Amino acid sequence: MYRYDEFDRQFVTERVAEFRDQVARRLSGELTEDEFKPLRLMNGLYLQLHAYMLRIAIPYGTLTPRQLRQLAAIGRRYDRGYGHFTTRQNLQFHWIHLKDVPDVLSALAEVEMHAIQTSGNCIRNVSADHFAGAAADEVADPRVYAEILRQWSSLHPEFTYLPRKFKIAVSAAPDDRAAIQIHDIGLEVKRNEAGETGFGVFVGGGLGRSPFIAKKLRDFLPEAELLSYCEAILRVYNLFGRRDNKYKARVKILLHEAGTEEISRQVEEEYEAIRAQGRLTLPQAEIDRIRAYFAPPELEELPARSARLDAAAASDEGLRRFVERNLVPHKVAGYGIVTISLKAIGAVPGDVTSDQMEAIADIAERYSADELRVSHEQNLVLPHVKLDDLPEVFALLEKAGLATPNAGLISDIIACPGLDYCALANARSIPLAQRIAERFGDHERQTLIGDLKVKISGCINACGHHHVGHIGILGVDRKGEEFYQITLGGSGDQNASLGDIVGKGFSSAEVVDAIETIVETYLARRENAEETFLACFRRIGEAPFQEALYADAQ
Amino acid sequence: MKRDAKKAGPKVVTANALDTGWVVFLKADGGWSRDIGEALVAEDPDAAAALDAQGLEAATHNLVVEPYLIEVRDIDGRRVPVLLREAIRAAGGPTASTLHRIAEGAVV
Ligand code: SF4
Repeated sequence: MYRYDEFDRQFVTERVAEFRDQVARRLSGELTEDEFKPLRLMNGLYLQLHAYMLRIAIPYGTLTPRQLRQLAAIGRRYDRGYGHFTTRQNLQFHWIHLKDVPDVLSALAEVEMHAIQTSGNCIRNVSADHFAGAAADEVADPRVYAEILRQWSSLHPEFTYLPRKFKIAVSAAPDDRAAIQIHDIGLEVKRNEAGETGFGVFVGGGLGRSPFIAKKLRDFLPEAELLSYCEAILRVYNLFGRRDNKYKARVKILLHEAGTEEISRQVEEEYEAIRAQGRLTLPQAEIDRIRAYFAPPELEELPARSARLDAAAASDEGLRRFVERNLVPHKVAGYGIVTISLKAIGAVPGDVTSDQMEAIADIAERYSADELRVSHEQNLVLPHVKLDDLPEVFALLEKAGLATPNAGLISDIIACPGLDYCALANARSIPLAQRIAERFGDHERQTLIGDLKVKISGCINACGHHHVGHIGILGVDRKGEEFYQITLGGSGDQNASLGDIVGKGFSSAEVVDAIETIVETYLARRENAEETFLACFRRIGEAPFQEALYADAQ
Repeated sequence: MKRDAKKAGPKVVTANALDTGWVVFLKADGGWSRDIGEALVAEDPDAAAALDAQGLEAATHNLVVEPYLIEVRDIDGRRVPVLLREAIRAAGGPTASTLHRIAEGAVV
């Protein structure tokens, strides 16, 4: 994994000292809130409904056990003993005191972490496939490119004050787990027929008030051209992106208003100019240098199946369920990738206590080659678990309350903090996620329903990715009351689509029943158990769901 | 922040404390309390405007951030904000507990 060099270390340390001084001046009254607010936001510090919230960057979702232990210690000492993983693979502490923030940032710096680029109109923390470096289907480790992008974007003077925030995601597998098509730039690492590495480049995706699926600008951009091309996109955006209206300032709107062809033409023109200078062409030696940081751990040669795991699963129903849902193939035979669901039935999606963080750190250290990942679906991942060790791993997770076998099922819900924490919210997301999870909590029932992604946002900013939920739920305020608008058929994967609004919204009291009606309609209409909710919806369309939901009203 | 002192109905001033960020309410003695029950209530628009001004003045002394007026009402002798958002703020924490859901609508 990438380690700070002298430059990184010095920069982060100086930033902490600078912010310590700014906090002291704010507390003494030397700085007003108007003066202080942009400074605190540049350091990831928000003021929410109940308290200050500190958002900590976890670049491309990669964490070490040492870092997770430090987060646990911060949570215990400076917060309320827990943290919250977000859909941007970040971690938020929701109860930080202003005076403690510099100490928290110092503690983070000790483990090479910070809160820079988690707020403001800059290039945000780059995200990546949470199975990176382990997935059986990846063509390369996408984090290598995410790290190159991080280094290029971190202090880029030209891109510190963009028209709006700018998000980049990288995936390197045909199965897009990083939702690249809903990012400002989405990069798909791939190989061409000659076996060379390059990128499919998607631009202009994004959710929020005006959701768009990204358009593909390049089918194959050579590896060495990554930064030249991204810089060209950023330059065109920085020059022509609207600054007069924040709702129209994202690159997706520029693309929509000027047209993909025109933007593509401008980007290519800019790209040629940058390339002619050769300044940003990536030398192979530099790519190799970064790649070395992500060298795969040394894993043993083992048979593809583990007799030990098979025997244990045969006599342990809980383990069998866990294997079925939370284990996916690893690129190395005899190993697996384990999803730690942070969605126990009735729990807050993405919340994890300090005790649990420590338990996970111990497990990762001992059983996952000292590595961890954070998923944008608000779960954690043990990327390199020996199948033979899975019975022990499962037992330890179970002891920590972290063995819920529901990855990808209806109770594995993405929910933003919503009106329980967020100052921008219209409605609560978390209690709704809990109610839905409880309604469908029975394992047999969830398994019968199969893969189904429910995503909930508490307002149109769409941090809960509701537009790309198979079932998406958006909280709205109707005359001071919480209402929920449902969309169906969204998807954030390689076949990305935006959900269609199914009809008028539902009150808080009605909405869980409405979800159940949708699920029952699917079960009644699917061709067979293999036809997923999304496939069924794409085949039969909205009408049967509308009929079932609104029959009485008609 | 929209200043709506002119709207009818009882009001209190709320803000977030500068040091902790916690939700606080302006009291009669000029201090701030986390308990909305201790807040000074303005019953008419003139009193609300005066209270609003007092809140803004306090913000200049760096005790609180972004003070504003909210509407309140009495339910069974308990003072509660009219808006759900403010009811959740006044409760001092999320309606959902960290690991287990508490009774739906506990703050409203
Ligand atoms: S979607 Fe809205 S309510 Fe949810 S976290 Fe984002 S801004 Fe807050």
